[in-house]
Amino acid sequence: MSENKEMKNKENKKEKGAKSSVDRRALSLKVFSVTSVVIILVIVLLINVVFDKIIGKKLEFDFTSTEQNSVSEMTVDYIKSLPNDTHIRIVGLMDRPEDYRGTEYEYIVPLLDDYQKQSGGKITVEYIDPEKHPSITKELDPKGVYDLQSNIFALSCNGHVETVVPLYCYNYDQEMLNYGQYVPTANNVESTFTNAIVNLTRGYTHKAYIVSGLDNHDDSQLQTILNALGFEVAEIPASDSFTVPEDCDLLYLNNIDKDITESMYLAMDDYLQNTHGNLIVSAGFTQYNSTESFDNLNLLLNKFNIAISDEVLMENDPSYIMDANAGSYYAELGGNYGGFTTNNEKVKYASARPITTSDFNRQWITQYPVLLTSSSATTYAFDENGTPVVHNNKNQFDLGLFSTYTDVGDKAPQVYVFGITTLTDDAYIGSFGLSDANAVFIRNIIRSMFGIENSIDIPSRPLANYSINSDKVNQKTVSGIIFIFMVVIPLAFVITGVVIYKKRKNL
Amino acid sequence: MLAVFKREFLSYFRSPVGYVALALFSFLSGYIFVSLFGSGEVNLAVEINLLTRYFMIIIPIITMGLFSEDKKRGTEVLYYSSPVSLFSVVMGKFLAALSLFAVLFVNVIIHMIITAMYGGVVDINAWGSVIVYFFLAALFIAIGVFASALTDNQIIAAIISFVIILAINLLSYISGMAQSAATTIATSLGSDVDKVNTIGERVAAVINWFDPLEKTKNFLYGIFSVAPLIFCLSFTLVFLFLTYRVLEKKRWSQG
Repeated sequence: MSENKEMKNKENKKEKGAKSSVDRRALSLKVFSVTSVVIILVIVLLINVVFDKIIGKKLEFDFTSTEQNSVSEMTVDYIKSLPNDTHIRIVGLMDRPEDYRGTEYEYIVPLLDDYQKQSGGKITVEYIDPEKHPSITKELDPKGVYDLQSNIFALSCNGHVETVVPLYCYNYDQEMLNYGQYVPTANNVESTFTNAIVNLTRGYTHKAYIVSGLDNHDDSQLQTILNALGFEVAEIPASDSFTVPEDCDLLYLNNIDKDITESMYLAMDDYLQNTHGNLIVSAGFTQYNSTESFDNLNLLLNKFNIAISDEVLMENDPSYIMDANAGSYYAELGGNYGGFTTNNEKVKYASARPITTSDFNRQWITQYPVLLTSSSATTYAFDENGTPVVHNNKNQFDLGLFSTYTDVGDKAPQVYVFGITTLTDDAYIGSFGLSDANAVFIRNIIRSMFGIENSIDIPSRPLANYSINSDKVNQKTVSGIIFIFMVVIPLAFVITGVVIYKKRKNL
Repeated sequence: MLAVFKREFLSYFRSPVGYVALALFSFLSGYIFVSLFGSGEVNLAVEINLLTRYFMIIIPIITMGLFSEDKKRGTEVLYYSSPVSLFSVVMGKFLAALSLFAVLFVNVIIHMIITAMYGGVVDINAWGSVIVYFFLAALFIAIGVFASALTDNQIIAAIISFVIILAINLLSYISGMAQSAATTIATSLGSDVDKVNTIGERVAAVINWFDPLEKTKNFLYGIFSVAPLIFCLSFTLVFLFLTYRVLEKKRWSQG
């Protein structure tokens, strides 16, 4: 009996020992399992933090064909040329846009990331919504002089602020704009931000005044061009109490439809004669000014041996006609202006007035033709019934003239007069962009007037165009594609699935 | 692994599952494509990006039976008794599901060809989206595989993977809600507006950090970045490892 009991005890002990060893093994495997999962998670998180925060930016590549999301070498070179202690804050006064595809931020957000990446610490980019963080406005603009609002970008450096409105970073299809629709045609994001950085760090070197109230147009594209050349731009309204401010380096009469008043003529004459001022005038032939003869303005211009004609130009040389139906033509560059456009490309224009020299030639004036028609152009005027009457035989006419005083060096006033408006017209530049021959030409004209050599020209970039060829696609094609992709293919798979299911079921 | 892969991949076409997935995917991708085509502008990056939003429907269908079906039939014991390693089984099944996704993608390739035929553009943004498509698919399939290993019921497995993928899709929305909640709490504690919003933004940023859709967004704009791909790949491996551990648990819990 006692032997049996001992045997049973021994067996029980053996069983208990085996069970506890299994439990211990299970526990150790459980611990191993949990620990391995925790270790893997920690390693994965660490790797991701390292890639995300430390080396991730270096392993980012812009593969777009136009490098839309990368700053150009010109910008990088300028940023590199800044002193090492420069710190520019670019603050988007908004939450960082999340899904920005199809919005004005699409080309801004990734590009600004690249500004920060390429700047070597000189530029930081932040997004701070002033409604959530009201202190940011005071922090950037303690005196409240820059009118900082939500949804714009503020660039700040050493207490100075430049603002960039996202909507103004693009060119828009002007025809669609007439219907209130913003359809972007080109991307000027880099140009806008880089020039804001240049003006912020270098300061404006000149001041331009655009005379307002003589036209029905906006001057925002002209302002962009002038800003990029280092000009601070302001407007002076046309009035009888018109005066030209003392700090005016350039007076601009852009796309005017109406003549100046007599008092304006006197003020401008004083500006040109006594302060050796600089004037640019552009006045084409439009529905708004077809009866305008610019008498007072011509009084001023006659002192520089220039006059704006009442007539309209008609180009007859086919090689100078861009689109006869649309009335758009090419103008060639004057002899002294070779190289003012890329590859001496011709400048484009529509309904123009010839710019003429007065009969009395003044010896003290130096004068160059700036833009010319072909030698087959004619002019016409309107009779009292409004019928066009050809006025001149075929000839070459000036579309732009430059005049200055001879042998007085830097103290000479400079006057450019254009009978076309497409050099600075908002609608034209909006459609063709800031890299078009016309914009390049006017920039070079202003550079030559002021001896500006170091401005930064960043070309507009084309936007992605996903349109399919409308000639190849008609309603029948679309219906066919709908039928194939939404009916035929899915139905074929469903039928195959049903057949397979039935066959397998019967196996 | 190759044997497991081959068996699983072919099984998709021996049952209606593969055809249902193909029919569903071709209908959804076809719908997006014809909508774009009809509008006259075909941006394939948009189509591919929108398709990733449907992963929450297609992936549970594809992955729900991968392990749960074997568990239900009791054939899972073969994982432990066959000479193939458990990790090879997991990888084989995972790669089979991923390959089915590649087959589904043939639809989009046909769309690309048609777009090019009609004078449209298949640009770098579209190819960036293709990369994102496969990395996100890998991550979500790994989640589906993991969900399938948790249960012997295919429907429950599908629901688990659907809920996880849905939650990932809603991370930006969840982060917004968390931001408001954190802001409200901080306000009630009497902090000033700037601090309150900073706290809220940090909470949202932490949650957003885990959002693979947010991380891979820049590919749609032609910006290729290694970090988001590492994120997808590493978390794919995490879920495959979790699947392996779930199956491995069965081995020692049986012991």
